[in-house]
Amino acid sequence: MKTVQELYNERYDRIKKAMNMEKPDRIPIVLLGPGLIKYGDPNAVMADFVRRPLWAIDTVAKAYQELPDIDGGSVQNGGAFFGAFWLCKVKQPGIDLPDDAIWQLEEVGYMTEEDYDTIVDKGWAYVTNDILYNRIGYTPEQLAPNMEEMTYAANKAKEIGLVNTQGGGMVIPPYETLTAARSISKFMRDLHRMPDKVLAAMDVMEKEAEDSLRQAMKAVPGLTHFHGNSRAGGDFISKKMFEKFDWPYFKRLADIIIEEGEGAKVFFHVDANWDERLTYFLDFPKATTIFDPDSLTNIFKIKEILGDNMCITGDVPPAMISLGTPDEVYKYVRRLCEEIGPTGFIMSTGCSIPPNPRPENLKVIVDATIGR
Amino acid sequence: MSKKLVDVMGDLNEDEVIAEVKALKEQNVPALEIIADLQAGMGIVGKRFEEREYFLSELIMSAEIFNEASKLIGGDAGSGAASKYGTFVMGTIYDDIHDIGKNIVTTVMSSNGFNVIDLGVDVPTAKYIEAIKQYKPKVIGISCLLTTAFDNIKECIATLEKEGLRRDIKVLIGGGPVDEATCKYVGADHVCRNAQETVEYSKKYMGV
Repeated sequence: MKTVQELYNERYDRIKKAMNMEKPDRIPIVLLGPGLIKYGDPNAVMADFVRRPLWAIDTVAKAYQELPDIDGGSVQNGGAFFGAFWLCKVKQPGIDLPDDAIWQLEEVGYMTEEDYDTIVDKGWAYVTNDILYNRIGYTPEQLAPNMEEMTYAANKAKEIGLVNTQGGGMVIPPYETLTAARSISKFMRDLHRMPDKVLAAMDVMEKEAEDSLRQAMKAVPGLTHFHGNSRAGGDFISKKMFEKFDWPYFKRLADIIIEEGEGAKVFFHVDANWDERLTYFLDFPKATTIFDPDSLTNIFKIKEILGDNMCITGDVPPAMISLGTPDEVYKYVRRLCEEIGPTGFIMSTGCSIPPNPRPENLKVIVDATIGR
Repeated sequence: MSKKLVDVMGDLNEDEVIAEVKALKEQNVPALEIIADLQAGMGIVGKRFEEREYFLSELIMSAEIFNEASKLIGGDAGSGAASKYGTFVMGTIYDDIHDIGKNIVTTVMSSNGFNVIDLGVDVPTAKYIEAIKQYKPKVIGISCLLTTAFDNIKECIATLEKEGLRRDIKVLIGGGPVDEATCKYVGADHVCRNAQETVEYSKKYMGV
């Protein structure tokens, strides 16, 4: 019988080998997302994360214990924090939404055209605080991290030997932030009508994001640091605009993680379809980054273009987890193992486990990966 | 027909579009002719989108220019004068408040000649039924960004069947997690990957 520490070490090494593009003893499995709570207790609802967060942490931990071949994940989920990250109001289950609904963002675009100049004059932090506290109406207490919950979650993960792959760095490029702050439609118009103003503001935002990233990486080291992007993908803007407004900033933030992250990988969480943008990611040195698609980018194309260069995670689609038969899920997971794995691959879901999984499908993901 | 207006609309040259519309108005060119030229320009935008020369940002910008130009001649994109292809009803299904995709589709449909009835977000089945009875659309769109709302779309479409409203309309669905399997599950007719696909599908169905 392995001790929890031995189990943790085994899981950690397995994940690290995959991230380093080495061949692990088997394909590691990292699953997380709000729907995992249903495996721990089929009667749990999303509002449990809000009403009784410590119980929710225990229940997610129970799910991990009942699926012991999962190597990594997180016992904690969401909250008002998402609203702050996207500069909008967040509607919560059991408060503004039905008990079993997932958190939803009200992306109305609180930032104005005039704010581009204010960002240059007074800084992005100034505008952010103005939006969050004056325009949206958050209080600092609402957005402060809940230390009791975080400590409880960290202890619980340790107790069950679960590897949390995420370090403290969490960043998105200025383009992505502005799509939420302004709203997509208004921001797309800004790109056409006032490109120079947008770029001047982005330069200021980037500098502040770099400083915050460095501090967060130093405060909480880890196997990876999160770097997200979605709305600069191939359906949203042309390559010319991508190269002007997104990629230089996105790349610079990734380079900082590579250069100053003390060996941590850049965890590219990439939503939407990036099929036509994949070659850009060849710019990074081998085994310094991870590509984590949400199932909308073709993972087989990712393998073809980036498979020799970086670890890939994914990508059982949320709709398949909710609606697919166990047989469909099994076949898809085996295909992933055979065509994306076994080296440089981590089995995971596309984005995260949705709030309404068929619980048996979660077990099938694990069993199919193990080859049972 | 003003070839210049058609071309500058297709090229998304906002200043030139506005100048040309003003000039045509001063020459007493009928508003419907000007709208027709703008819509022909939107046709170029749609073609370039299909050829991947234009992207979502250009679709949004084209709708913005179209709306600005329409206002100059006393209309808006969704007004009766601008709408020649029939009515399109759209909303985000109940329990889901995502509005970005829905807004983009309704804007692009309006500026491509459809009379758009936007039901908003978190739309209950009863509201779809009421709108279908009142506006008699040939196509309706249901947006959904949450796997938890799939059953709501399914219930909505099943209720349309029960009410005898499903036979003559096509139901289109769209949104991040929606795929072909979802389409089959909820009983919709087609999954639209983007706004332009909604335009093309609707035009084809309406025989335009």
